[in-house]
Amino acid sequence: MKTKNNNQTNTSRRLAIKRIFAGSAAITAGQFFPMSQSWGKTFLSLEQAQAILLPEENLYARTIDLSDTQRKQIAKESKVRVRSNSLRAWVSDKGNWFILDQILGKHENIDMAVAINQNGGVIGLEVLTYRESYGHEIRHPKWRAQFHGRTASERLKLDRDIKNISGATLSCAHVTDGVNRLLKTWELVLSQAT
Amino acid sequence: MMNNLKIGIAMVFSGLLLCANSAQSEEALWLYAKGSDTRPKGSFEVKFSDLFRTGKASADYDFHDLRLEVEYGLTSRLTLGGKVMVFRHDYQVLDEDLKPYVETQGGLGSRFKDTHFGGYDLGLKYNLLSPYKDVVGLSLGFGYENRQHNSLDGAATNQDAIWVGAFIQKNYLDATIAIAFSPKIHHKRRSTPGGLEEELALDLAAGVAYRVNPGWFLGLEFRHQSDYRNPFESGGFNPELQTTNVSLSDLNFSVGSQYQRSNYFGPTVHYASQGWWSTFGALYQLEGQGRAPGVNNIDGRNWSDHERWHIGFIVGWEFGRDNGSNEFEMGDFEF
Repeated sequence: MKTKNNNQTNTSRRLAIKRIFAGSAAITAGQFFPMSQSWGKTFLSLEQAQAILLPEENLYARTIDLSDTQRKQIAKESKVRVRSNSLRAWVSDKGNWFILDQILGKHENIDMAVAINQNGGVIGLEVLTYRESYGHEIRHPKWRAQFHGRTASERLKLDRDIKNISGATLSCAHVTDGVNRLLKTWELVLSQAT
Repeated sequence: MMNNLKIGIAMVFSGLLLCANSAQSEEALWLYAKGSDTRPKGSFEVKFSDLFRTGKASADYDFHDLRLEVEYGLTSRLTLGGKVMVFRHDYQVLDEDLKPYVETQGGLGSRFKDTHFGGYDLGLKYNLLSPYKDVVGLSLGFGYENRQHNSLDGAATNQDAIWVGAFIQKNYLDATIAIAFSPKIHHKRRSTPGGLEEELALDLAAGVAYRVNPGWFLGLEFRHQSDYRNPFESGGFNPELQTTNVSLSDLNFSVGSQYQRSNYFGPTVHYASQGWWSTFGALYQLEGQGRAPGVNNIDGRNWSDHERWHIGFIVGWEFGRDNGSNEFEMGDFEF
């Protein structure tokens, strides 16, 4: 047991402890101001993704606005929340669709693109920008190839239909949900669009 | 001692900031409650926390529970963790009934101020279910803890404990809402002048957090902590630790009535960025009670074993498994 009667020493030491604690807390508090940054890595540009998924096809941009009814129906049938009522999509001469989409990672959004053919089957999937620090394995071609040919007739489930990647479960789950949502969007909206 | 502590903390912070890789996984969204995530295989996480416990009914009481923790992903389901604890006590108790503080500080009018090595903890956490693809996330953990100083009054002790815990997590709205419940039981044994003391310590923590912005979570946390002493201590029966009908005969341990308890509640803020994450929380003692003679129960709160506020700050850094690499082998994955 130690006791100190030096009031000056006591006060300075208390202040020192409080400064350390306050400084540490300030690191967190300071991040409240929107100077923070998205640090993600962009692997593909939009044009590169289009060239990979729909090579040598002329693509025409379409602005697709979903009505409330359409949003609810897509959400109900895909069992995935529809976060945005607008879609960034391109259609080719052959009737193939290229859709640019965002899904949620653990902290940031993941930009991905899905190409769907005129029969509603997935042509391919690309990850354009990945902002999380774990889960980047979803970019692996073999993992993404699991989605090729899938249609809205089957609601894809991780582990059952799409193999999971240990250590990247959240990203795998959200990409799978995103594909389910986009396939239903094609079935209910895009297939009717001109 | 204090200058060395300051220098040590600064060095740790600086070193970690220089070495940190981009990552966040299995970070703590709350002070006490823990989710079910485990570390990705082959990755490290280093955490520094300061849990500042302050305020009693009739005492000037400050206690910093400083911890440095390292976790390693043995597999993507199994995490090994170890931590060291440093305790910093600074208090002056004015109520002669507030034990054991009065004795430790050397009587009324004296003050206790000391920084000391508190102990260490080693544990394993195994993930059974994922909150991202199963109905609920579930992990189990167990470990061993040794304490060299009492966290309440800073007195020297020699306490061993085995703990088991569960980590339950449920996510909603694309994991923008996370709810966690983490019950933990410690079986403690310690030597005292009066003989061997044994107790079961129950720690129930629950939290909910919502992602308000990319990288930001706001949350609420509840924590219950209570102790149940073994009434058969040192070969004798202590009638004050009234026996219930529960007996763990195989372990030669009887569970006494609840010896003391307290409940806390408060907000938390969590931020994650490239290379590190941080959590800040402030929990207030809502209610508490104690049965032992001299337990300071005032205003429906327990001041002998608990404090008015628990204000905590945790910083975590992750290493290993560099993100963004264009080259990876199929053999690295567990399909």
